Amino acid sequence: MEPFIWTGGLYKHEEFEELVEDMGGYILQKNILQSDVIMVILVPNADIPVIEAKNRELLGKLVKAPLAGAEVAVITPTLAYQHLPHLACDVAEYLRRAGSKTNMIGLARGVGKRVAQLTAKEIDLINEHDAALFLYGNFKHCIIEKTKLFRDIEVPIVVTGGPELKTSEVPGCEAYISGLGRMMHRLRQKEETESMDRIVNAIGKVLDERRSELDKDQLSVSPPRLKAEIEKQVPDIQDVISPTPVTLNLNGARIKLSYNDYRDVIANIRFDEGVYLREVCEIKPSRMKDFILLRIKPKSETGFVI
Amino acid sequence: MNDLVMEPLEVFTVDSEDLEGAEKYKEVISDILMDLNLVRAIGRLKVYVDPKAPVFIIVGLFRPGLARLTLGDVADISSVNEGLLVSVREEQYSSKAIGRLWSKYGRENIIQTDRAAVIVPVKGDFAKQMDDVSAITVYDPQEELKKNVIDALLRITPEGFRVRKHFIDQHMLAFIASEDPIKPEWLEICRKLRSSIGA
Repeated sequence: MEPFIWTGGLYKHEEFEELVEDMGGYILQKNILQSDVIMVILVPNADIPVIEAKNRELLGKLVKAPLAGAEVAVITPTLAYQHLPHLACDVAEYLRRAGSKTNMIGLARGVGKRVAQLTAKEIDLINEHDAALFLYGNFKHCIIEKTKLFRDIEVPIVVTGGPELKTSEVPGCEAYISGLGRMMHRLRQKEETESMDRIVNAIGKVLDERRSELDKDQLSVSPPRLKAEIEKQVPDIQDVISPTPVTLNLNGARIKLSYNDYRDVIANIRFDEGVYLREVCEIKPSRMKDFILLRIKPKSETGFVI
Repeated sequence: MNDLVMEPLEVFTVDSEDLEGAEKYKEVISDILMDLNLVRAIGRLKVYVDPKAPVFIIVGLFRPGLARLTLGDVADISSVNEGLLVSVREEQYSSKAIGRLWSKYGRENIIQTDRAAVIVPVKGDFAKQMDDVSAITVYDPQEELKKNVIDALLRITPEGFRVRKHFIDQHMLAFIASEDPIKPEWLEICRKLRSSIGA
């Protein structure tokens, strides 16, 4: 399956939506902004020409979304103006344009060389994502010193900062992107946009590696299918006002419903094959509010793939 | 004080062992000064950053400032039966001017005839009182400047540098920030920087 972002008009957009679903694709996210519709979709590779033809007919815009279906944490050392809003917001927005679901996390004690640290809750929260992007400052020494924050983070880490550094000089990260340190202006210049492109590529590469790792021991059910079933069988999800009531991860999903109230409802979702959701997923409380976190079990654990 | 006529930011350097970081920091500082409209107000600025220590030092010299605005500059003052009629011509200063008169004469003694006009009771010598009222400051650019400079300094300082030592007067500013208690050698660097820009 190939992820895309489709932007088009409200008029007849249902035709596009139905076509994607008829072909066995998935609508991962749909936002309606006045008369515009923006959809993140997954399309089976063989049917891409059909979708492209429909797109031309509807005069829409279809672009590849390399980060679709993944959740990325954009982490700044603080929520103070030293790191916000320009750099962090622009980078987060850029990642969203590449299809990812982005959460911005400001650390409680991420500043200063000596005092920088993560709380247990922050570590857990970051580990719920598929990748973490750390936005650091302008000084080489500080960036290297603050890699101590990576200690307990299990998800792949990408770091961005001002100075030119080799990835090997920043221990613990998968990729280091230079040229985006602390700055107090919007990122409009060519070099800045190029740096943001490099971030998207780096995260895309990291996610691909993660996917191929997951492919070695296939997941019992695919995350988009999980999302489709939840939306079909839990009507209350329609009342959630968040733009992504079911947020996909590479190996699961976060459902924006209360864990205590909906745990059993979710656990008892039944797939067409007769399998219950609780058999293929681990159901845990999320560190984000009181949401539900699903982690799909691999084939080696369940013995089947549906 | 240095009475030389200064161009805006005729000296502006950021010194650090980390040259790349210094270059980037210069950009950060000029963005902040631009945002807060301070570029024209500051004549010389020198910054020293040592991320290893860690310490951040900034010294600057203000350009000779603009004159203060008094009530006489922004209002018409005339005599009426009840006392002295002060009518503020420039809208933007009216609330401040009336506020100053309230605190000087007491709110209950002042008759407000209009949004921007009040009558002040006459006490004693009329001419002297008229001079007194005209001399009330309604806008002090220095004060405003000071506020903006402090705001800028806090924005410029690296986050986490919570131990701070500062000195600001009408003509210059000096500011040291660090994560650790301020060391005497940093004060020495600050002093050198100050003398290098003539502060």
